[in-house]
Amino acid sequence: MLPFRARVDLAVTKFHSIEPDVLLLHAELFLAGMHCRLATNSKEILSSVSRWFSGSRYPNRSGPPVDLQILVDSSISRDRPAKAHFRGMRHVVFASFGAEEVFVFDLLRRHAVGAVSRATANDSSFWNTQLLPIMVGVMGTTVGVVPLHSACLDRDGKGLLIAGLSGAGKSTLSVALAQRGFSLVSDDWTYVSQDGEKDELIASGLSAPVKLLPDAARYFCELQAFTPKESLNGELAFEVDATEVFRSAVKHISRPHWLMFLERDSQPGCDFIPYSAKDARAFYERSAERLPEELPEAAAKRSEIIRTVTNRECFRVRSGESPQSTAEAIDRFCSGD
Amino acid sequence: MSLAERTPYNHPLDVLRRFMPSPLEALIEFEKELILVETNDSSFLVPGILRESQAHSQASQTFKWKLLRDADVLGKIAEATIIVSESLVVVSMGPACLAGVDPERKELLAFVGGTVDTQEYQDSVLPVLGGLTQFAMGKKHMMDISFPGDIVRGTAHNA
Repeated sequence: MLPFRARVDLAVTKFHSIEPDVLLLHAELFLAGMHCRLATNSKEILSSVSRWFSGSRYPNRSGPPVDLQILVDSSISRDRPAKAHFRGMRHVVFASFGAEEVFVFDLLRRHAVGAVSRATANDSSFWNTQLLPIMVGVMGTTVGVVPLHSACLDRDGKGLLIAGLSGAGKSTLSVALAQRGFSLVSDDWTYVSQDGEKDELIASGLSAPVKLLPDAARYFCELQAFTPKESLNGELAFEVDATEVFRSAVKHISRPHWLMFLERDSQPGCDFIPYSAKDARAFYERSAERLPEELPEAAAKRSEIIRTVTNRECFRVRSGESPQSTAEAIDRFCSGD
Repeated sequence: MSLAERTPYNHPLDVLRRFMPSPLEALIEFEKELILVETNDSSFLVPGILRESQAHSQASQTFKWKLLRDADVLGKIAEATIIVSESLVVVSMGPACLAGVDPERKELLAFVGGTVDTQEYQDSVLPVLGGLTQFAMGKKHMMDISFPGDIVRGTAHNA
């Protein structure tokens, strides 16, 4: 039998027991329709995530809460820049940021835990633009908050969802629409959930920075003051605050009204072609992350929400024009001109 | 399976590698525990240490291991960080070894990096997997498991 003492001599093992009686600070977070009960031992984390405290943005949330327990320990070292590493199997998702900062998401029990350094506790950018969006992406489906790979803009309470393959130009078009008076909800991932018991949907964003590929600088002179950097998925991109850089109006929620599937065309012009609900549904189902068989209810709920959202007016938008010209055409289309 | 045969797995809708194929299955005995192993790499079934069992795989006490060779991940096993929560125990030894055990479901899930060789697996990974299994079955306390190196307990007082 193998002796139970390992033979290699590595440095030090860090042991963190996440116990409720040491995580005495509590807060309720409302993230794109997801209700998250946070427990921690760190005032710094509470301060870092305080922008999510207000539940008034999501008046009729319907799903169960997710529990998030974060232990801050000064014995943990922070590696930065550290590439995030994610893996998942069955109902468990692992996320590590450097050697010592680790999170685990239990999708069956809707429970996430993590241990971080004090430096990370103080890093509001980490919580607001990385960890919390990741948590909504990983766990949202288990509580009826479905991530759709679409931008979302709002005009007078009516939501415009813009879907399209990666690289189709969703983000640049979103910025161009925001410059024409639409409010920006999201430029990349939109989280759709049921509005309480009503048969209506809410589309939410996470106010994450707008991510624009380097060629966007051709269309937006505002980007000339910035340099593209490597983003979380390794892509080189500008990540900028739309309010600060483009003076865009931002909204947290909207109600899906139009769906547009953006396609780049080599020919000039911008055409709006009706798209069947069936094809729209197939697009979203095809582009959704596969869910493990342990989560049949989440998969069913996601399909139900996709079915409901694709019952809106759907169009393919084939454009060979600049983002600004495409935005102008969409603006006219949505205004009924 | 040799290192050369370990091909990276990439699927645009499976960024977490949840659905990496694991076609090999074996019922083994390890430290007196009966374990049903599902894997994509036969070198995890170390002959002489993991003994093939003749018992029936549906035995109610069977613990399950799903061990995936993560060919994309290069690098050695790092020092361990252990997180114990209400429902899961997770051990991260860097990207080269991530393991989690769910005691209620009697299930252990682990990713092992592409360059972790059999010796390193046997010396550093297997003892941890065995210890986690015994912990999950209530046969061992967490602090009795031997991880590589000495253990430092993190506490709330450090925060």
